[in-house]
Amino acid sequence: MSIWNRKLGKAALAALLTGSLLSGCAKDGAGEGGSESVDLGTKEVTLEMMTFSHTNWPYKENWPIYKFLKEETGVSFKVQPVMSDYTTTMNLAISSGEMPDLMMVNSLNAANTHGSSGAFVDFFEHLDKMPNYKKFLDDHSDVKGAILSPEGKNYFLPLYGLEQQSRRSWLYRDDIFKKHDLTPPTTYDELYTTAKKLKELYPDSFPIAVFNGLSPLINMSPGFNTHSSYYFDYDTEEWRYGPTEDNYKVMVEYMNKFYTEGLVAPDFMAHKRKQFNDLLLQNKAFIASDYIGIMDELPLVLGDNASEFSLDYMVPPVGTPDGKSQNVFAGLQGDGFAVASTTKDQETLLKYLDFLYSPEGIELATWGKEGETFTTENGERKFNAEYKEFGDLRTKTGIATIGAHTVLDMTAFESMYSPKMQEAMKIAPDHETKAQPRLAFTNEENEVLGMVGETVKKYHEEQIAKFILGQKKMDEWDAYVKEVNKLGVQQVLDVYKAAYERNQSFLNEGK
Amino acid sequence: MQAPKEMSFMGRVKRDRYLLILLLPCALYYLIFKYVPIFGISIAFMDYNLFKGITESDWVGFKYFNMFFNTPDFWPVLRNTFLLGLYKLIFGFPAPIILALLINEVSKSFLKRFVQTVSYLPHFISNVVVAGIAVMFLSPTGGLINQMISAVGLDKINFLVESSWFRTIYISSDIWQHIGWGTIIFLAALTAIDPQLYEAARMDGANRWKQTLNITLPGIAPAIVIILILDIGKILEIGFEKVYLLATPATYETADIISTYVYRVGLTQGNYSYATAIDLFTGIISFIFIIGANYISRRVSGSSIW
Repeated sequence: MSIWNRKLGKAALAALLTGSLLSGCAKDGAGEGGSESVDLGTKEVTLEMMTFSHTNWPYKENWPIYKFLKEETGVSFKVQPVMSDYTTTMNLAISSGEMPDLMMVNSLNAANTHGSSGAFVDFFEHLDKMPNYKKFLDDHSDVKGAILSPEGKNYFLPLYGLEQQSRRSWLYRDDIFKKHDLTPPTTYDELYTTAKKLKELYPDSFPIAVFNGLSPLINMSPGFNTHSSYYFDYDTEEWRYGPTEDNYKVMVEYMNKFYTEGLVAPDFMAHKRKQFNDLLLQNKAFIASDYIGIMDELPLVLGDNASEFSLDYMVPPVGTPDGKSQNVFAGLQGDGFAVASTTKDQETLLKYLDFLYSPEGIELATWGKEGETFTTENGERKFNAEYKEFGDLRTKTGIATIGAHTVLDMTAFESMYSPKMQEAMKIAPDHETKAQPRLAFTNEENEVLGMVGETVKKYHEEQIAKFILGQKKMDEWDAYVKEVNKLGVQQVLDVYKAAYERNQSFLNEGK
Repeated sequence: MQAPKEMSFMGRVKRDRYLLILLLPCALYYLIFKYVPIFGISIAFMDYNLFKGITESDWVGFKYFNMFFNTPDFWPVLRNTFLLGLYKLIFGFPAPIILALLINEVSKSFLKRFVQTVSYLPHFISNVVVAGIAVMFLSPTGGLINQMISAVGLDKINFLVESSWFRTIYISSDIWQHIGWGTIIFLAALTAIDPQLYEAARMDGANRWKQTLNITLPGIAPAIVIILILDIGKILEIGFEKVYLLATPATYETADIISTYVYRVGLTQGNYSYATAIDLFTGIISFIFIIGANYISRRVSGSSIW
């Protein structure tokens, strides 16, 4: 019953869309040269979109941002918000043959796999209809290098802007440091001595807060001029595997020292975010490596009791002479958008998406509408006072939520951060690694990564964990290196190398 | 025995129509959700592509099975799964029987029901929460268990990063979760025992323990055997969630099982064919287990599922 209804509905929709398409074409012919024209047609079009809905700002049908977009473009969406397990929902939609016209894809790999089997539209084939997107890619060659398929096609529309929010960083309790006249450490030796002092002052504490398996090592590795996995060394222009390098060993030795002397929680590997937060909030940890945003978020948890509690940005400590005072910058978000090849109204949808990459589109997606979400005073824009902070703005207006933008002008949101955070955001970019290349792999390559790569990774993680916990002595390091190499590190490195060279050749071709 | 012969098929359908209608929902359930999906197994033998679907994807034969048998992770993962399942059977299977016998001895019916309800409540707690509770209880810094250990003067144990503790933690939390739920079927079996047997035993001077041993246990033996056979079939079927949540890199040695491996290599990489091949493999092993257990049980005890 419901299937029939849906089919009928689709037929009706298709008829409607064809009409709007025709009128859209007519209009295009009339207004020639208007590449910045936002008018997509006189008729209103409703398309289907599937997107991720964040628990903190769940999708609401009456979000003003979608209203503004509709006013501007005539396109509105019937949204299917997905709260959890996006991959499964996405795969179900693809295999059921009932794909929404526009859908978020949660990895480049997923977009490429389904794209190459014909599920998604290749945007490069339609660049003539997407002048703003083309310009955006030309202006951001790093982005262009991170969205290609192994055949040099493009099924993945990148999101740009929010990745600046999810910066990793080192943080410290500046209130406690001030109280005891301590200075933030700049090297790992200083980190050790400072943590020691804090441990003496607070015997119950584990001064350095890290959590979740071996993930702390990811952000520590630039300080030792290495990497937690396979990486492209921009200095020597070669692919390397971090976890077998001598510098990596030095890092593991530091972690082992921190563990043995109780400077990190003994069960930090089993800790999840909750335990991590608790340590910081209960004055049981004073230095942390996490996302920069917790600087503003954690005090909110304490509410009125937060008076004393304060976190501030700490310049990343350095561990070896060649180490860099850097946090790992992950680069573009993993999420992007794809257009279903089965969409009934490809033309309108591509135009709509192109609009989102245009200066007007970026402005609209970032600010909303004058008089409704922001006002201009003395030539300076200000979000309405009712939006207390960035998260609040997203919850109330839908601005900067996934599905309501492709590119955001992040400078607009700076005023919503605390002054401390604004300061930190100014320093942070100077202490960040260059993002690693994001590569596209063929099916065969993915199989190597899945089989050999995962075996290597499991062995590496297990052994490193044992070194840190002292279950294995450091003099067994060489045996570990030998064994992990035997499992096929070189094989995986070759895959990365091949994929990287392929990617580079596509980029050079495009020039 | 002549009546059925005279009745035609339609006649019998007509006679039993209400029974058949009652059977229908259940039969449909099995048909739609259990039998039809069996054809999906075919993706274990093809390079399954979500968009192309089952009909269009290319056949690859036993490629994914060979891949699984040849990975260095194969034996460790199989061994961990088997051992975890075996210990779960050894310790987890008798637990609800013992609890059921104990509950059966409680004479106050209010107390009996209270204990029953409280003991089966954990069954409804999500694994995520159970893992969270375990992490808190076992914490070497503020955890209850370690506080008790240090109270009696022993050294604290860093449970969650010691691979030797993983199975104990998993199985004891599993028993806690499911013991009450498991008693339900045994308590039902207990009510079926003829009270006259107990009366007769008491007349003969049997005490409580003797009654339990000679009447209660033999009375529920068929139920025990059937549950045991089913459980043996489930040895390799260990849910992914709780293992994944309780494992840390330091405990991979014992905590990496088939389902976590499938998740890592099959599902997160979108390789559904590989995941299906591995699942089919475990399914076949489970099938052998259950047939074997049933056969042995029929030979030894005379009671069996079929």
